[in-house]
Amino acid sequence: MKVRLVQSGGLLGIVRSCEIDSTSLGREAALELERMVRASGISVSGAHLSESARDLHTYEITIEDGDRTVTVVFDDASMPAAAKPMIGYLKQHARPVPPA
Amino acid sequence: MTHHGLCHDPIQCIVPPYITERLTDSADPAARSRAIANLKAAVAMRAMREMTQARPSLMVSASPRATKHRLVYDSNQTDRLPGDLVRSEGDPKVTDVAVNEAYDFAGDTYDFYDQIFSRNSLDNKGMTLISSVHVAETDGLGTFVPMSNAFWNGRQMAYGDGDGKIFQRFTRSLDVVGHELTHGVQAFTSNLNYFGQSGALNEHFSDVFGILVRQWKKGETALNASWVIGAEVMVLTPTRRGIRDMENPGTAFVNDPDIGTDPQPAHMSKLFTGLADRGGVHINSGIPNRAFVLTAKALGGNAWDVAGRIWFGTLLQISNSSQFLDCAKLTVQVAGGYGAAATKAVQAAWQQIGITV
Repeated sequence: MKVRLVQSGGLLGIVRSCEIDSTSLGREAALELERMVRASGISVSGAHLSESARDLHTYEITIEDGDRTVTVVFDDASMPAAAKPMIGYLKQHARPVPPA
Repeated sequence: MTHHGLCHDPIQCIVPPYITERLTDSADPAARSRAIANLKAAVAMRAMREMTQARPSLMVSASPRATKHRLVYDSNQTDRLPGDLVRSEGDPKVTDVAVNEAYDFAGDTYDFYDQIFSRNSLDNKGMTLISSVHVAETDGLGTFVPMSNAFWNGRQMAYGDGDGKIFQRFTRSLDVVGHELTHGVQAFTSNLNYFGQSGALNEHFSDVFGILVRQWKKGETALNASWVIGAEVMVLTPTRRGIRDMENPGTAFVNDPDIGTDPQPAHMSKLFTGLADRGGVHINSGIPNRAFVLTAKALGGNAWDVAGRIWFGTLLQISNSSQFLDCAKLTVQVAGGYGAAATKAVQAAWQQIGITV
């Protein structure tokens, strides 16, 4: 399983990104990643962005599991509670990248 | 209203057409799948979006006397908004400095709009200014940590305390408070669409009036003022000076180990055309920001006296889908009311960033 985050926006407006491949992790870490992905409830691609809010972060998350790929876009207000731990985990691994 | 059970906010959650149109042409299967999902959701969301855009008054918190009225809440290091009420209009200072900063700077911003532009709060009807401090976000363990951001959620301001490494308390900066409140003013005026160039103009107007509040409060002239946004909210190091530099976009932070290099362009030839940051709303705002500073410095004196009034007049007239060229044309038109020298200064400023009017 591969999980990719592209975080952008916020008042600062920079882009941070990371990609985590469960096959490159130890057994426990890989299981924890897969648990967080399942717990997130993300199963269908879609974009869910707030209309009237300003300066929120935007999170584009892509989950590749076998031949299935799901991409979702959230912001701080539209992010489902169940996905917050996974997104928090990905944010800790994200590093600044040039915007694309 | 929800999509696939994922969206919380009853007012918000949209499918941005700017992004959808781009993604449907993508060769990337993941991007295409996202675009298809967007299209399915678009019809359902349109009615709600149009209603809230057309009637922002639905979200107004009326004040008792239809004049300056501030309420400050404490989110107590959670993401709950607004939280617990800790200071109301007329109450004495409290021991929590973030509460007092949010209260005082919201008051300064109200006074600025009132005294310079004769505007009575965000809606020009005395709307209550609601702020929440000590707002938190979730980390990888599912626990709350201080939020490294400030935002306007369509009804109120929210301020985090920062991570202590990159950011400090977001209430420390008057220009940041002015920036967020100006998003509120825009909700009742231009309501510029928050994608691509119109979104970058939305950010631009918030930067302009945010920094003008500070210059007005400190009595700084255009030539002597700093044009750096948010210096007080950052933990300053040799590689970072603030959130944005309106005069020299792209230089506020360079090769910083934590936040990289400031992505703002300073000229139309470097316009960002990617999808990140809702099509670069915080990135491309550097271009009109520089045009404003060039105008203000060319005119001299206090930036709020003429340049600020030209830009405020523009804000009141600009349509929500406007692009940079539309904004430039309108500023030149409005500048006509301030004499030939003002018109010439505005035209020259836009010319320098690559837009000919």
